[in-house]
Order: sequence, then C-alpha cells, then structure tokens
Amino acid sequence: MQIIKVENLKKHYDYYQKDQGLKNSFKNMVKRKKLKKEAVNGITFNVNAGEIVGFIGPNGAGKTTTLKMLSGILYPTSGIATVGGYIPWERKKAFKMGFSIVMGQKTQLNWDLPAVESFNLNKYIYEVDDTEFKRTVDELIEILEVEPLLKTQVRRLSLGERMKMELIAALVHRPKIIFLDEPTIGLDFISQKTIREFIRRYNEETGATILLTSHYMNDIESLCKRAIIINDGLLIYDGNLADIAANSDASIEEAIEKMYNNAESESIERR
Amino acid sequence: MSEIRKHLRVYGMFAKTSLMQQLEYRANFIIGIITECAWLCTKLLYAFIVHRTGVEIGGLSPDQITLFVGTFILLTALYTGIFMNNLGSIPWRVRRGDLDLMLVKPISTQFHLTMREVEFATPIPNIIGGVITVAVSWSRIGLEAGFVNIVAYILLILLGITLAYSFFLVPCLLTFWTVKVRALVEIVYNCWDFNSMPMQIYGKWIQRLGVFLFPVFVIANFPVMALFNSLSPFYLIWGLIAPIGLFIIVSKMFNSAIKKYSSAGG
Amino acid sequence: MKAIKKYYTVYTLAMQSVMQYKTDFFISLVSGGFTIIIQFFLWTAIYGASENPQLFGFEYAQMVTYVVMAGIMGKYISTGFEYEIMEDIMEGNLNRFFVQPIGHLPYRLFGFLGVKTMENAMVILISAALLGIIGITAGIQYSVMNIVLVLLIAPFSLLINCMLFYCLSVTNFWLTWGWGVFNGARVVTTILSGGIFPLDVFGETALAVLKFLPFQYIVYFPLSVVVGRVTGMDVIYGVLIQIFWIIAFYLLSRVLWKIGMKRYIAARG
Repeated sequence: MQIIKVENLKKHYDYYQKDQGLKNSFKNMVKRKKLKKEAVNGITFNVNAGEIVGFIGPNGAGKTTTLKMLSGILYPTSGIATVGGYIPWERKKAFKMGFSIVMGQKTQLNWDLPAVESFNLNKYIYEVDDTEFKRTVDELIEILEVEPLLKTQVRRLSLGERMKMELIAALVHRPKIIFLDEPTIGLDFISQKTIREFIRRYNEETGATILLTSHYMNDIESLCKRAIIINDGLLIYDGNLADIAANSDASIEEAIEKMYNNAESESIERR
Repeated sequence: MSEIRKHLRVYGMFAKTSLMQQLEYRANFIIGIITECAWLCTKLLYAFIVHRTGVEIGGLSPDQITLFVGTFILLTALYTGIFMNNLGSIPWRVRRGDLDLMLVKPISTQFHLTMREVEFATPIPNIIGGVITVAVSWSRIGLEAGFVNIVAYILLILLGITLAYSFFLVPCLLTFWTVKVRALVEIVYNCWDFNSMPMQIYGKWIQRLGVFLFPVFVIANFPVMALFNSLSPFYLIWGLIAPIGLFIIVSKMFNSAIKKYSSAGG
Repeated sequence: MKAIKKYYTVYTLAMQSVMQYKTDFFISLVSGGFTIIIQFFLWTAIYGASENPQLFGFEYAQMVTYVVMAGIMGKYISTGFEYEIMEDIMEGNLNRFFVQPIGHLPYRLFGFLGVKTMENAMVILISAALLGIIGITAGIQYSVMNIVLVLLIAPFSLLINCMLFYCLSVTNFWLTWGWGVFNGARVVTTILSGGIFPLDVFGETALAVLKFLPFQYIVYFPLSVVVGRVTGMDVIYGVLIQIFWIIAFYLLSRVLWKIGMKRYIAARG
C-alpha cells in the first residue's frame, strides 16, 4: 500500500537581490529585481507503508523543504502529495494526529524543565489516554535507556540525550508516519548508533513508515534499503541503495558524488 | 465541545509548565513581583491624587474613580498574566522558526502561539491590589449593584480582555509581512495606559475616537459604567460587538499571516 | 591632557553611533508623550471641577507645566548603560579594562553621555515646541529666566541619576538579579523624584522626609525652579546639594567597584 504519494511537487521562492553598497539600497527601494529560487523543482515518488526511505542530497538540495511540505508546514507552489490519505497542507486534524516530524535543528522540548513535562503536554495535545501513554513512554524510555535522565532539565542534557528525548516526545501518540530531518546531526558516534538502532527497532516493531534525511551515509546505509537522491530541487535517483555502487568499485559515497556532478553538467547543458 | 475541553486541558498543562519554568528562576520571579508592586503604586497614585483633591470628574466621585482604577488594575493582571508575554514574543518566535513545530500539532495554532505561556509573578500584586481597591471603594460608595449589573461588569471585563488581546495582536502579526515591528508593537502597547483614568477626563472627540476608532477606552471604562448604570444601550451593544467583531477580524488576519508564512517560508 | 582626549574620543564616537539607538529613543518619546497627554487632561479636568484655584500649592498653569515637564525630564535624565554594565560584569567582559588603559566608569559614562547629548538636544527641541503649544492653548506665561536656569540645572540632575544607576549596576557583582531590578528601581525613583506628580501631593511629612534623600533633586527641584516655587538663593543651595549627591554617589560607586572587583578577580582568576 502506498502511504505517501508525491507527484511533480514544486516549491519556488521569490527573493530580492541587492548589490553591495548604499546606492543600491536606494535603488532597491524603487525597483527590485525579483529572483526565483527553485528549492524543489518537480519531484515524484511513492513510499510504501512500513518502508524506511533515506533522503539524500547536499545542503540546499531541497530535502528539508520537501519534508516541510509533506508535514503541511509549507504550501507547495504546485504539485500533488498525499500522506496517509490526506493532503498535508490542508492541515486536517486527523492528518496531524497520525504523523510526527523531528527536526534535528529544532526542539519541541521545554528547555527549562525535565523532558517528562513535554511528554505530558503532548499526551494532552494528541489526546492519548493515560494507560496507553504510560505504556508507550515507559517502553521508549527503556529502549533508549534514559530512565536516569528523566528528572534533569533539558538544557542540562547532552545533545545525544536531548535527541533521545526529542524522539520520545514525537512518538507519544504512536504515529504511523514519521519524518526525521537530520536526527543525528552533531551527535557523537555512539549516540548516532543508538539513535539509528532505535529507529530500526521502532520501524520493525510498529511497522511505521519512516522518511529520513541525514548527512551521514552511515545512517542511511544501515537503515534504508531504498534511497531517494535529490540535487538542486530535482530527483536524480530513486531505488535500491545497494544498486548505486553496484557496477563499480567506488564506495556509495563516491558513486553519489558522481551522480551530483552528472546532474549538474546536465542542467548546465539544458540551459 | 470535546475540542474545547481538550484545549482547556492543554491550557492547564501550559499553565502548569509555565509555573514550573518560572519557579526555576526564583530570583526573577521575586523581582517580577517587586517591580510590579512599584507599577501598582503608580496606578494607585492616580486614585490617591483624586482623593486628595476631592473633586468630582465627569460626574464621578473620587471613590467611583477609585473603583475604576481597581478595575483597571484587575484588567492589567489578566492581560499580563494571559497574553502580554505571548504577544510580545511572537516576532522572535516566528523568526526562530518555533512556528514550524506548532503548525504540525493537532491544536489551534492561534491558541498555541498566543497562549503558550502563562505569567504568574507579575499578576500577583495586581490581583491582590485590584481586588482590595475594588472592594474598598465599592463599600465606601455603598454601591448596591443589582445582579444584572454585576454579571454585566464581569462579562464586560472578560470582553475587555478579549478586545485588548485582539487590539494588541494586530501589530504583532505584522511581523509576518515586515520584519521591523518592535517599535509599533511597543507604542501600541503603551496605549494601555490610556485606561489609567476614566475617559470622562478627555474631551468629547477624544472619547469618541477612543471608543469607536481605536477602542482602547472600551477595555476598562465599559465594565465600570455598567456597574454604575451609566452605560447606554448603544454603548452596551458596542461593548459586545467590538470585542467579538475585532476578535473575528484578527483571527482572519492570523490565518492569512499563517498562509503567508507557509507560502513564503523556508 | 592625553586622558581628556581619550575620553573625548569615546564621547564623540558614541555621538556618532547614536543612530543605532534611534528606534528605542523614538519609542520612549511616543510612550512618554502618552503619559503627558493623560496628565494634561487629568489636571485640566481636576482644576475645572475644583472651586479652589490652588491645589497642593500649585495654580493650574504651574501644575500643567510641572507634569508636562516631568514627562520630558523623565526622558532627559533616563539612563540606559546599566544593561551594558550588567552584561560586562556577568559575561566577564571586564577583562579588557585590565589590559587597556581606560577606566570602566569613564568609558561607560562618556560613551553614554555622547549618546545622551544628541538625544537631549532633540528632547529640548521637542519640549520647547510642546511648552509653546500648551502655553498658547492653556494661556500660560513662562518666565524666560526660569527656563534658562533649568537648562543649567538639568545636567546635574542627569548626573545624579547616572551615578545612582551606576551604583545599582555595580551591585551585579554580588547579586545576579537581571534587568528586572532596573525597571523596578526606575519606577520607584521616578515616583520619589517627583517624576509623575509633584511631591507636594504626598503631604508635608513625606516632603520633609524626602528632603534628606537624593531623589527630589533629580526632577522635583529643577521643576520647582521652572514653575517659580524655588527662587533666589534657594536655587544655589539646591544646586550645591545636587553636587553633594553626585560626589557622594561617585565615592560610593568607587568603593563598591573596588570591593566588587576583588570578588570578580577572585572568582574568575
């Protein structure tokens, strides 16, 4: 069953360019050169229920923008997407109840309080009943081994510990679909491994569909069978991760780098 | 109905976490109370002056003016406790990207963004001072307000807070369209002090302006006028329409602000 | 001579940087304007309703002039360096004053006065316009002599307030109470210095007690000169007391700073 369907999704921004200097500031007040950035420029893919799909691409390729559109945070410029049967940017309550997004660069935890308080708040926000909440959270606490940290204010936690809490807060309502935007960013090797193992285990046990972006190929290689590679807002590969480097001696990383370069020269040719 | 109950429960959690958070910083909490006591003194000073001179202003005796001041203090307690910090922090919350994670939550985004924090320290002196001021001046006047008047008083206080919320939210929302709104936000907020004395001290034209065009006078004047039976039916209707109407308009504006954010964003 | 030149440079540099504070300055002007409007209407209503032409010893024209000028004085004497000093102390920025041959107090004070000079030139212009408008609408005659006098006295008021807040900022060596305390202190000093209402409204006893405190020499005294309630030799006495308080606070700040600095060095090494 295809739980995420994306068809020709585009997101273009307008922005203004300003040349250096005061004179140009005045020029800009009168007439601005409007420029268009094609953050996501028509991508199409589907994801089956229960899959873990790795989203790969260099900085500014459009990964986060795509995840934000699939979460309903941003409206697309054009294109269609359904997530769990809903159009995300209609922001239906039933849609919000069934998915979760974790952004490595942002926190939903209350900085000054122990993480448990934020879990509790989410319990009310997601209308989880007491017994189920207790069961879910206890289980997650056990797997992630954060029991001793529960009484510590979030601001005193290490980055890795904080990310574990972030994951628990995002999973309180047992979402069927999970978007993880660089969940291991800035973490040390050990924490990365723990988080990675947790994601795999969670996927196996609950059958949740997971879309994951990461800068670390380790994350993708150990978690995802399938990879979607985007560059410059365009989808340049969608298929088995193993196939990327199948026909050469190069490592996956090298193969992907080659792919970026090819895509770039193609786009130059097109112009 | 169940949605309202849910939001009330979530609000309970907002209040609980806010209180815990504020108690983490004890020194700030205590200084907040002390500073607010000083502000409370300046508000009471106005009532004190009127008492010392003993004159009637616009048909209001010093005790009646004191009752007005007490009501204004109560309104200040409610506004600072429920809304002030939230509205003030909208611009930087939006710039910091907190809104992203609010948009994915299955609760009203407007509720989430504008009511997330509950302030506990500063309202404490105002609630105590306000209740005492109202009670003392009430008994000195020997006010025999009927049940209807008291209901109208409380209702108009709540509507006054709603009006203040909508009125002060407008400049904060402009942050979605342009970045530099701080000056405007603060200047509009300073209009709050126009309620430190009854509107009778101003001329007819300023009164009309402050009732109909920039309805700041409605916030504190109308509840007290209802108590003294001096609120004309026309004003009473305006006192109902203005807060509700402005709230609807501001909610619409909030939605288009969010739309703007989602369309540009990134 | 070199030292003077050094601080003069700090002063002029700050004068040029004044533009970066212009938003805050504008906001405080407008909100100060609101208070003035409220006060003006309040007293007009009170005097209109009162049978007595004199209240608290003030005629209508004197009272209106006082409260309007009090709003303006509040802006004229306002400080703003206390947040920077608090940060200096709490964030450990003081270390550079060990290595650079410049004192902390003169550095902050002259820098601040540079900003202040520009702002207060503006404040004086605005108040001249405001007093003109009110004078015409309310039919008030001002004494030119008194206005010249107050222009001479006001800088002393500013200095008292600066030294007062400087002492308060220095207490951050011991107590990390954040910016909230400055707001609280500002409200209290404004009330006690007669920055909202003339101190006469508090009655004889309060007036007698306040004589021995520095606050009334910040606003109440210069404005009493403007409305002609303090004249002749009393003006000179008042200025001498102002100077006394400036020196007293200066000495206090030196003592506090020395003790605090020892603590700062002991804590940070």
